[in-house]
Parts: sequence; C-alpha cells; structure tokens
Amino acid sequence: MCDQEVIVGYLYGELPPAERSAFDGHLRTCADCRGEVDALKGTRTVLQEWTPPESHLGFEMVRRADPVVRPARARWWGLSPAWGLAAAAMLVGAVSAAIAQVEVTVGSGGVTVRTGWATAAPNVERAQAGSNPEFERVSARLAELEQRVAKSSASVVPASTTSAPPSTQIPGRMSDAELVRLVRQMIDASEERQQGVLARQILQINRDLQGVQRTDFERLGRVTEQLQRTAVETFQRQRALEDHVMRVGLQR
Amino acid sequence: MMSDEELVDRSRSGDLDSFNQLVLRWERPIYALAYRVIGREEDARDVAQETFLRAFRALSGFKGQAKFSSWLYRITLNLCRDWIRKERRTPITPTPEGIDLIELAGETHPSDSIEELVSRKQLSAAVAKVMALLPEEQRTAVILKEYHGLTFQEIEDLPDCPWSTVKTRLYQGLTVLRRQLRQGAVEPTHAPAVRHLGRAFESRS
Repeated sequence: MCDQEVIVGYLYGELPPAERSAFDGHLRTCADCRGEVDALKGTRTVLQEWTPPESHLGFEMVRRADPVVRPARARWWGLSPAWGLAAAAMLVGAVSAAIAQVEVTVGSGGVTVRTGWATAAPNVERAQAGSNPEFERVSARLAELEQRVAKSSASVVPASTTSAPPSTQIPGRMSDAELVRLVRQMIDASEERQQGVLARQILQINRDLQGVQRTDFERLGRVTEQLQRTAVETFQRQRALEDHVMRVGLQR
Repeated sequence: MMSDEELVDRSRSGDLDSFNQLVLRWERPIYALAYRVIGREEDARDVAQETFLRAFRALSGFKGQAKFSSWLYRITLNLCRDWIRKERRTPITPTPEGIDLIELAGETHPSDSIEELVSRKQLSAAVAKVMALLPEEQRTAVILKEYHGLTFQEIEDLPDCPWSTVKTRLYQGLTVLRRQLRQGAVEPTHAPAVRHLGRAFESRS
C-alpha cells in the first residue's frame, strides 16, 4: 500500500506532475492501490449527493444612520385633527406633504400631484390633469385650499409637529375647522382610491394563488400517476413471479 | 467583474455597496460551509450572517495575505467551533426517514423517477449522517476539500490545521466515509412509501 498522502494528493489532482506520472505508472502494476483509488473516487462521488437545504439568505449591510431616501408614506387612517392641521400647514408652507400615496408639492409653478400608484404618468400638473378625474378633483381641492389660505390673515398657528417649517403661516380661527374638513375630504378621496387599488391587488394575488394551486395539482397528478405506474409494474412482476413459481411447482 | 480583492479595497474605504457585492458572492458558500459543519439550517444562517458582520468590522485587519474567501472561511469555522463548544452539541443530522414525497416532487426534474429521488434524498441524509460521525478535524478537512475545493495549501493556512496532517486527516476521513457508506447506510432501497402504495393498489384490484 502506498503512502496515504500520495494517494490523497493524486485523488485531488494536487501532485506535482512528476510524482503524478510516477504514481500513474505504479497504479498500472499495483492492484491494491488501484482498488483503493477507485473506491475513494466512488466515495467522493457519493459525497457530492449531500446538499444543504435551500435557505433564504439575502444578507445586506446597511448603515444605520442612513437617511431615508424617499419620504415615508404617511398612513392615511386614524389621522387626528391636529395631524391634519400639521399636514395642511406643510401643504401651505413650502415643499411637499405626503398624504396617503399622494405627494403634493406647492411651488411657484402651481400644484404638483404625484402618486405612488400612477405608473403611466407619475407626475400630473394641474393644468394637464384633464385625463384623470381623480387627480383633477384632488388638484381642484388643493387649488381651492391654496386660495383660501392665501386670502386668510397671517396668524401663526403653533406648530404641533416638528416637521412643520417654522415660517409656516396658517389661516386663523376662521378656517381651522374647515381646513381639517378639507384635508379629511382629500384623505377620504385617496382612501377610496386606495381601496380600489387594494381590491385589484387582492384579485391579482388570488389569481396568482390559483395559478400556483393549478401547478401544484398538476404536479400531484404526475406524482400519483407515477406511483400508480410503479405499483402496477410491481403487481405485474409479482404476478409473473407467482405464475413462474406455480409453473415450476406443477412441473415437479 | 471586479475581483474580490478590488471589492475589498473599495469596501475598506467605506463603500458599502462593494461589500454587499462580496456578501452576495459568498453568502451561499459560507452558509453551506456552516450548514455542513453544524447541521442546522437556522443556526447555519446565523453563523453566515455573523461571519459577514465580523468580516466587515475586521476589514481593516485583512491585509490580503490570504484569499478573501479563505479569510471568510476561517471566520466561519471559528464561529462554528464556538457554536459547537458553547452549545456542547454535536452536529445534527437530518434523519433519512420522514421523506415527504410531495415535497420531493417539488424538487424534481421531470425526468427523475420517484425511486431515484427518494434514494437521492436518502443518500444525502446518509452522507450527512456518516459525516457527523467524523471527528471535527477530519470532517472540516473533508468539507473544505470536497465541497469548497480549497487547495491543501489553503487549508493549511486555516487555524489549527498544520500542513503535515491535512492530507492524513482527509485520508482518514475518506476511509471512514467509504467504510460507513458501504455498510448499508446507502444500500439501494425501495422507497417505503412506494412499496406501501403498491400494496394498497394491489389489494384494491
């Protein structure tokens, strides 16, 4: 029997060329070593059958202090009037507010409504919103809101959240309740819209599930068929065997 | 495609995306290594995750003296060793019983027969079982060589694996595996479920 290290080196192709050809020569004459190498090769083949279970990995390093890139979508349910006011304040004040999936920006060029669900035309300017009644309605309300605010006196409402810009000018008492109502109306509108989207998504999921079920059933069918085939074959083999035994018995 | 070493360089200067590319590249092998050493899917995932966390933290200490993958393997093996010691556990092996035919069918290629599949699954479980019998060093040597294709030199560079003994350990491990796998652990058997169904079918007809 040869040196174990040489055999292992040979088995994994890590012998230097000279040693390798020498061992090749040895294998031609030594049946023991040949048998050993062949058996270990067979073992290696069997080892390849060992596979770890599929596991969902998808690890990813994230920096904890990373700022959120996209503004978080505000939840549209359970808004308190104070929150609504704050939202209104943001609308008026300067940049943008995210109400449900509607992102509203009031700039010098007019009101921009951007939605999360409108994939075809994510940006709808007020002037061009004619194609979609929903956007038009929201835009119209916003415009109305903007005008009311512009007309109102410049009394400052204490900011109820830190997100409201300090310079925010909010209409006085006269429109507080109304503002809340208006914002609520807008929220209601987008809520309706969201429910529609949700319903469509549920339908889609349902369809997907049905598809999956169908494939599952088909697969199950195939498996059963195969099992039956095997069973029939086994049965037939046994029959043949019994016949044979019977015939042998009779002959005796 | 960028090499591991290039990505390491970029990661070291704070480029998180580059490091995540390395993670993507190596998470499967690292998980597989951990799984084969400790034998539990959940814990293997944890070990894999922890490997990358540690690697990230220790990136400045990686001077490129070894391949990045070897360096990762080393971290993984240390974590596995900790796991085995801390838990005072021996590697767990999946039992060959309880093979779910339906689940099995989901993994099939249409051309595989059920018998083939069942016996493959049993084979896999049998190998796992026999591997668990090996002493830790032998098992590690076999795993690194057989499933991760490390060279003897690379294995030597891992902790506690002096060059002179790697080949010996590997040989011993393979010999045990050969003996055990021949001793009935992998005898070709008919799938019990198939036999059972066969009988049921027969009695009905």
